Amino acid sequence: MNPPGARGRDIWTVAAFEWRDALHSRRALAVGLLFLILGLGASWGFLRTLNRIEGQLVESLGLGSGSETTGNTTAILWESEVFRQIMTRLVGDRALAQRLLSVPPLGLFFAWLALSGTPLLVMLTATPRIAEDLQQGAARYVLLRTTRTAWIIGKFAGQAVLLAGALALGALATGAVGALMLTSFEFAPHAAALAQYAFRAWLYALPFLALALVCSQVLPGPHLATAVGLASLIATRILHALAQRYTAAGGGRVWDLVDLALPYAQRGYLWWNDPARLIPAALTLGVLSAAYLAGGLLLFERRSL
Amino acid sequence: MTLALQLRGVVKRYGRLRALDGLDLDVPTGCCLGLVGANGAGKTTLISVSAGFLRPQAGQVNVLGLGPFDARRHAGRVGVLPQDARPPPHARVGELLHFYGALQGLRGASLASAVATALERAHLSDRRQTPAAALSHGMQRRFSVAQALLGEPELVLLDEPLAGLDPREAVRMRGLLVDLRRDGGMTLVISSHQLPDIEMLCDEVAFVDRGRRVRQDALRNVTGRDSILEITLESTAGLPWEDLRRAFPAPDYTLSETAGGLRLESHGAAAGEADLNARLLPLLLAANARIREIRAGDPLEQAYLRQVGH
Repeated sequence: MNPPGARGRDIWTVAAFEWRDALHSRRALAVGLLFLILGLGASWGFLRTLNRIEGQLVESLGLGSGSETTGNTTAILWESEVFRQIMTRLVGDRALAQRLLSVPPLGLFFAWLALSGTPLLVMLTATPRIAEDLQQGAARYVLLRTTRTAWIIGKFAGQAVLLAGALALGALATGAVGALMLTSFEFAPHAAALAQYAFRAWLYALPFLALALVCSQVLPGPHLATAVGLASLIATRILHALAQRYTAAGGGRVWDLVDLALPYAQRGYLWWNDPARLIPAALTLGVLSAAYLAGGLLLFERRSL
Repeated sequence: MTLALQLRGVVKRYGRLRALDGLDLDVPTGCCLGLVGANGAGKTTLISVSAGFLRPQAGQVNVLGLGPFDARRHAGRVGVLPQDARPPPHARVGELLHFYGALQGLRGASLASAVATALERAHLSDRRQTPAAALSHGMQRRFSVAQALLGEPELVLLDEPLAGLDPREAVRMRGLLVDLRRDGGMTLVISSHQLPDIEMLCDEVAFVDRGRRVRQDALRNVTGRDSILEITLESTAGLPWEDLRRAFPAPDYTLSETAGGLRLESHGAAAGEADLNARLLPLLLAANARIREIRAGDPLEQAYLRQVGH
């Protein structure tokens, strides 16, 4: 019989096997490359566009060619009082505008990209993970030796670490492109911004990862799990939009609760540095992840293998 | 008699189909029980319910006297060879067994030794570093057996261990099962359509039909191994029938001529195959009968068909 406390050790064993399997299968490489290429491509595209806009701006003001000085004009603009006022009006909150303007533009771009794109990438890469094992019957070898709960949590932990690695690679790629293309590149603020937002995007993606694993546990095949995972992403987004709309229109407590049950509502708080906003958002995301996983497990416990 | 596995009135339905329809089964500790039944009779479902892969709708399952299968209680004590499970394709054979061993609570030297023993038993020691996807079908089955035997579980459930194997792999697998029986200690439940293998390996047999146990008994009682002798001869001409009938009188014995020889059936207290042989063979040899084959009992196949009736 397993000694007491084996469940925690089982979770670790499953998670460690998940990482090794991701390395052997080159899945880790594929996910890492995906984030790396996205980080490289998107930041290169962003800086090219920035360069073009700056060039046009410099040209229209008659200041000569701006093609060699990507970021300089933006840096000046970023510091100007007029732009700060415009930003405050755009964001609707002076404190938040101040916070955003304290972050380098490339950092903000990465934050937007990571917060927007990671849930989709998680749905694409994590949904087959359990469904494959169930379809092949490999789950039977494991579930003779550990509980379904330990197996699922171990899979979640393994995938969460892989995701952290992939986001770190994405941030690294973005930073590298910035260092190469920005004439006004400063290492410390960029590194801090990229690391902070990579971590926040990871936190934000955890409930989506849990949702992906729920689809993977309860559906009969990996392709169907991915399809339903993507559909659930769209459905929850629509639900969030409806909740926001009805809440704003005084739609009542139900819509508040609906919005609270979705990770999207926490996204806005992740832009802040204020612990009073950041910590509750992080805790809510953690609770949502646990709740989604628990819901999936309730269904999975009843499932035939 | 302690039971390694007991099922009472187990019902498992798939929609309208009752795969198990109030099935009872008793597997004594230390025995090798063969599960015999047609396709769809419920053998795989029985194994799956016993291993906790499926939840029954009714009835009781008791594994090793600890209640229904629960990984927290049974990890490492029950091994299963599922019928159609494939290992994760990219993981290496040795690494997978380490993973499974660690989950069942083995650590350090005992884990390494259990993995080495399982690989050796399954003749896969040279495949330790091979990814599972690169194993042939036969090797994958042997891998499945290796994981089922990992850490010397008390109860091992083998679902069609010889299914789909080529002759060479089938011989290897048969050898592996014979070794398991010889080594003793484990309680084995083997589901197979290869009835000669069941006859060779098992000491008890259960016939399953339409989700119910039709009969469960010692193999020698089911096949009549102690009470029936069937002898194939080159020719039955010149057999001393009068002497034979005097030696084996009715109603205690039935002596009959078959297409290729004779059949002797004892109805009294089981005399035993050796005793019947010792009394019958001298009479045949004295009559210069040329013996081709002596078989004790009916083939299991025949016993099964007689019992199940279709």
